[in-house]
Amino acid sequence: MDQGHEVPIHGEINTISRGFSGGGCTASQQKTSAREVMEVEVQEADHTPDVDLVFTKADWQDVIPHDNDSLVISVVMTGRRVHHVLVDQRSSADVMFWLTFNKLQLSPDQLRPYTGCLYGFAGDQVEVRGHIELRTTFIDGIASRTENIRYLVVNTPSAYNILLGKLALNRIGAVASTRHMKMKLPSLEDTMITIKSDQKEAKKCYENSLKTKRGVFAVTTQPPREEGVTRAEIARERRLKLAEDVLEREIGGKKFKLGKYLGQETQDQITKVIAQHLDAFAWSSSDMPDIDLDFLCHRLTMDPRSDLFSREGESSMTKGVRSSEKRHRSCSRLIISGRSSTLSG
Amino acid sequence: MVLVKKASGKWRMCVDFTDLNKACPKDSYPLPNIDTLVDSASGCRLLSFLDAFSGYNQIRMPPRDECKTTFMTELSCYCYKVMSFELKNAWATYQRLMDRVLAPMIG
Repeated sequence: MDQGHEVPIHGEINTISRGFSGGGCTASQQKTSAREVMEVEVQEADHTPDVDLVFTKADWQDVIPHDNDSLVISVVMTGRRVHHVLVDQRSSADVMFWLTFNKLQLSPDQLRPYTGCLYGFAGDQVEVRGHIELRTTFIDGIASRTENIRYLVVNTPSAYNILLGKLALNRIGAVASTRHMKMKLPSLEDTMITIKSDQKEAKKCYENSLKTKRGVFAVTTQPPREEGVTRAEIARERRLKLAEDVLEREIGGKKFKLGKYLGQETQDQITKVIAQHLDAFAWSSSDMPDIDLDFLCHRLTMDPRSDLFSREGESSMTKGVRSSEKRHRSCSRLIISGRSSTLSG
Repeated sequence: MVLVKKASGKWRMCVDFTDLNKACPKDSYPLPNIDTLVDSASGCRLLSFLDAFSGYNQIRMPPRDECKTTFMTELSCYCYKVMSFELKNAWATYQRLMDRVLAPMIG
């Protein structure tokens, strides 16, 4: 997020101040928050995770050489993987952009009011639409950690989907290293979760944020893997289900089924139509008329140069027929011998 | 010849027509383009689905080609009187049938 100093960009949020870190908008809320600080410290002492977050040489090795890129990760929320999440250690608010909010198919009714403003680095104000608390999952393929994070929803164009500020990072106890392009945080089982920065995406986001246009935006509907739900299962769930509640009706000995949910009027209408056109339906396979050979049939056109012909040393269409006739005869011979052997055995 | 169990619990019979398929040139009848299908379905109030009953097997083989589909079983020799799934160009013939039958509706 260093780009803002070089190019004047209208509406870009750099380091963000205010938000929830001060405790709220009113003076009394801020006082309460100041008092809570002491309590929080005591509480956190009990929950200190028993794991050292260490960056080792190995973490350094898989980093693509870069020029001070920012840390861009992906998180999972409401069953979707959200890319382009900027880990912004200087920002005091966790910000979700309005477009992201919409893409997550969240309803504006879920937004709780927030009467403050956010201040950007240059002192510019940004309108806040409200705030929302979402279960956010940080996952590294092996371990995951889910935490409620309160986002301020802001209506301003951005190359990122979400900015994770100090508040969220402290809550999950994350340590980020821009040199190693990684963020590490303790899981609830006291193991270390390592989240790699998507360096290619980071580059793309950076380039896009330099343009004033709204850039890359991607929220994919990939299901969270840690719940053990595969793509196939989700696809199966989404398929239209057959109506399970069905009524059996009978007209003149012909049975058919109707979905109960259709409603009495529709059911009667359908029954009437079926009764009028009973002969138009095939009630058994014998009712099905053949397709006329002249209308359509499946011809087996054969390539005269193919192996089937050349093997026999002849090149006419009839040869193919004859060869299969030959086979026919030979296999019927086989059957006879087979039978005689079973008889004798 | 292999028997494969279908998801519905029924058995599907698969005959190996590799040689026959090699000898047949490919039928490059065009399959409908999915994007076009979706486009033409948009804006409609109702969307109804039809499933064909053993669609492929409703199509007859011309009598002179029946013997080409001959296959052996332990008990006897059979040939198909109807179009089998394993035949290379079966999909094209089926598409041709659908296009012909539904021509007035496809427009």
